[in-house]
Amino acid sequence: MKKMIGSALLSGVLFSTFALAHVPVTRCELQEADTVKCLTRYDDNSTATSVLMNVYSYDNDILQTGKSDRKGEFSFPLPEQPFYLLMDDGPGHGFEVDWQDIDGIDQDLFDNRQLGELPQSE
Amino acid sequence: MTAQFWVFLLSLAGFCCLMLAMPQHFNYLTRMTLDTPTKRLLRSFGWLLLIAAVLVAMQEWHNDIGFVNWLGWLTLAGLLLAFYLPYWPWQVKRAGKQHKTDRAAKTAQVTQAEVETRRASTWLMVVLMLGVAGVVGWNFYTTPEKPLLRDDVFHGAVGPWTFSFAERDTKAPEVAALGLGVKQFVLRFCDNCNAEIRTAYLKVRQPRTLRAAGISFFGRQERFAEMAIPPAATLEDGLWLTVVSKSGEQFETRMEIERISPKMAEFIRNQQ
Repeated sequence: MKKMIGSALLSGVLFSTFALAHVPVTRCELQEADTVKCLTRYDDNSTATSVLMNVYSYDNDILQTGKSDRKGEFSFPLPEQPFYLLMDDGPGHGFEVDWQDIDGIDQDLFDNRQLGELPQSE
Repeated sequence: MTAQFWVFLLSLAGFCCLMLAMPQHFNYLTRMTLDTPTKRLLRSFGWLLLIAAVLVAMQEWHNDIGFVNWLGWLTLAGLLLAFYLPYWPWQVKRAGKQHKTDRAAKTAQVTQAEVETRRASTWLMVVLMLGVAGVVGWNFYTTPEKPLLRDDVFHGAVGPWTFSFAERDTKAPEVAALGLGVKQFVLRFCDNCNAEIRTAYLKVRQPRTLRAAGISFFGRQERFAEMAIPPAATLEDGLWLTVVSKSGEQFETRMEIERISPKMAEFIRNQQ
């Protein structure tokens, strides 16, 4: 009994020091067939499930919307314009993934497309 | 103030119950023999009172400070009881002399082994005390300077307000989940303007909307934030502080990553 009370108090002290917020993080990778697959976590590597995931154009129009699933995953088709993904875990508690942050993406992707499209339209 | 009194009173009452749950003290005070059910009752009541005291303290000053505050009052209540008990009227009259004779009889019979055990326990005590002093000293020596008092603190202005900003420690970002770097920052607004500020946000790269203004600081005077670094961040992106006033005005300012945290700048260069 004494030990139980002791350990209960001790755990109270220990856990109270870990009351800091954990940081939401997302990392995305370009898959085949122009799909982007993202993993949603907190910085302690716990899975961030059911977090609102919105893909915005640079003009802040919503291109895709969804939630991370039970495995902490979220996939969306690669938009045809520069965009950013917002992992929105509540106000002031989110993480932004710019298209340039996506692993395996061509850093000149949208420059190339714009350049590539111009001759066709002429 | 009243809460302090209650924490002390509950702790003292708790200890009194625990004391009464010991046969000899119960006997001295009530002149009755302690039976098992009463003993159990007193013991559990004592513990409940101590728990009530810590709950009051935690309710009043939150878990961390409340707990420490309770320990303080607990020590005081315990010491008071322990040193007052020998002078308790009943005890002096009935048991004082007996104790002394007991002690005298014991001292006469002290064997060589007992002397050695006592000497060993004295030394153990000395070593433990020195150990405690050593730990306190070491912590005092190694505790880092408060971030906002360091020489590398950044003083800036955002909208009508001035602020001080610093990384919490000067170490490299910690690599957290998914291989992303995480860094902690401390922010303090001018004392006069602090009350005008609702929320402050921090992120790498200029925010595109308030919704995507980054991670928010928490705290009232000295604000704290923990931020993850995007994998493709560059030093040109800068560190952006967005501040929203209580009347809804919104201001932002850019800080040089290299100026705020050389180790974070190095981390970003290595990421590219």
